[in-house]
Amino acid sequence: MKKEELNNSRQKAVGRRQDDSETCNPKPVTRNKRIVITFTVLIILLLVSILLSLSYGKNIYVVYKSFFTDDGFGLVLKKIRLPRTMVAFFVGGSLGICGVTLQSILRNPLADPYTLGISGGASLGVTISIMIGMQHYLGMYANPLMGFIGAMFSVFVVYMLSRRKFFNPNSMVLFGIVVSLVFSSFVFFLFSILDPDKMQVTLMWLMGDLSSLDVSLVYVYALMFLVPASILLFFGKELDILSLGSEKAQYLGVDPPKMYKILFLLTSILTGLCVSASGIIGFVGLIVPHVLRNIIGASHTPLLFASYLGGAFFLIMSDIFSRYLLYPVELPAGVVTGIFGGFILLVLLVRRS
Amino acid sequence: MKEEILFLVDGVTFCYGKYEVLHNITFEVREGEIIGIIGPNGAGKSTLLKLLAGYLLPERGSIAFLGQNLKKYEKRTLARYIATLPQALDPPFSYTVEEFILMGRYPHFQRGFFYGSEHQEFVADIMETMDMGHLTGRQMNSLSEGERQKVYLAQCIAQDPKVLLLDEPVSHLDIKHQMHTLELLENLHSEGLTILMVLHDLNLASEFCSRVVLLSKGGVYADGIPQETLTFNNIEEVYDTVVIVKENPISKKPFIIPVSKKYLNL
Repeated sequence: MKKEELNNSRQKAVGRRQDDSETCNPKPVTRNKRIVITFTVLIILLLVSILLSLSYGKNIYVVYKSFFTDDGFGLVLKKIRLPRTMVAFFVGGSLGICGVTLQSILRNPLADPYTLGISGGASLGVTISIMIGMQHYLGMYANPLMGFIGAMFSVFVVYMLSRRKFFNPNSMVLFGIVVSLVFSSFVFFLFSILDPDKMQVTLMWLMGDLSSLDVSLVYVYALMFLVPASILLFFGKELDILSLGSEKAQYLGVDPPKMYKILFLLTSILTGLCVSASGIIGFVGLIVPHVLRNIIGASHTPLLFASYLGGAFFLIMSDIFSRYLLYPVELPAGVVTGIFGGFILLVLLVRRS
Repeated sequence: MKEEILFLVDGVTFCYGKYEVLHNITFEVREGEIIGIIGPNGAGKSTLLKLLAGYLLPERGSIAFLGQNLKKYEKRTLARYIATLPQALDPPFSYTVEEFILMGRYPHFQRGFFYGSEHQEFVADIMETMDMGHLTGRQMNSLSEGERQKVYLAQCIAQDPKVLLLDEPVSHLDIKHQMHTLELLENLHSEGLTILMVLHDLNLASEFCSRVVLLSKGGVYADGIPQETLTFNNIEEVYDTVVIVKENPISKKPFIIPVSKKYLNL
């Protein structure tokens, strides 16, 4: 008797719950459809931005014909516009996926590729390079090389410090911030004794300059960018799991310290390359994943791919603005991304609350 | 009927720095058991669970799982046998319910960018049997606490484990969701899953567990069926609280009633 009653009431409860679900729940969002649309739009936007960057002021047909000539606009196209667009593409895309990766492993949506102290080390490297005039010995390789060495050095310091804490995300952020601050302070110290001409050059580099990489290096860089980036794109599922924290990640079958090491290495190399190719370009790695996560959701495999495309688009567009906004004066790309990115982020934050 | 021994905990001692949390713990877990680990705050319940899950390594002593030392297992292999739900899980991003449960398929996943259709179907089946079809397509941060706990459990089930380790799976739920979750666990148990959970509520432990392990100050104080371990003497001694132990009239399990000191007039 009692049991029967119990059964009845249980069935009732189940029935009620199902009724609720039919009336109250919003229709399930077909996320796959949304992802397909987003990718289509991103690819179209990216292609348009590339064409615009190559052809600004000319029509497409002229651009197409100029590819086969070696004078006038053909030279401008092949020696200036194409390399510059390529740098913007690779740097923007790489910063985008590095942002996604670090936001996941540090479990913090406000992390960006520079959170682990890379910008400070790279700045110091380049400042030293310009101060002691290294281009006299190494020519065009001087600044990229010193920037990369500086970046890797700061990463090495953060890595060695974090290792003792088993790559605990919180201590990694703290180490990154402190290391970056210390290196930046050294940069400012050097500024105070640097002569103004050199300071101007250094400042332009620090603010992000897509034109500084020599043409002959661009293709080498393209290759170097592609390898770590394509490896990183395979780690979407691990990033999903790592975002739940290292304890739960281990229970789901990921080896967190090992995975942190691999991802840390890949993002450091990529960010180091970005910094050495074009200086410090802020906000791309922060804003692009943030916006795209709002559109296609948090799942990391689609987010990584979308952020590569989105980052590339955002930086190419910013570069176009930097070239023509105050024509003939050229703004540093980092300034444009900072202004636009900051504005977009503010709008997003205000709208959410 | 002889069940397989899953865990063999042998003289395990664990310290956080200089502070010894567990001292010389010895017990075993057999297949098909549903064990409640109880004890006061700081008795080492969560630490014991983390040791069994392979997250912490014992200072002294050893833990064998299926006859092999636990630390010799690869993380991925272990995740196919043991699913663990830690106490606080706080995803910083909002996944959909399916995406979240799919993460549980990771230990069985071979390679590629996306989980294939067989994994998707596996998850859909779990959602159906756990009566959570109405959560399809929902965002994790739009769920209630009870629903979220259910999704966390579903993720563990998606690992298709032999053992389920749970750290206070019901302590922040209301009584309806507590019962609902524990009944769900009971169903899973009847389908052959071994369950080991840390519980704070002595009455729930008494009602749902086939065996109760009472920890006190880093050691096993009592270990056995609820009627043996949840006695008036044991509880007053370990918890330093005055209680009355009665029998639940329906389930015949011990029922513990705390008594406030102001009514004692001693």
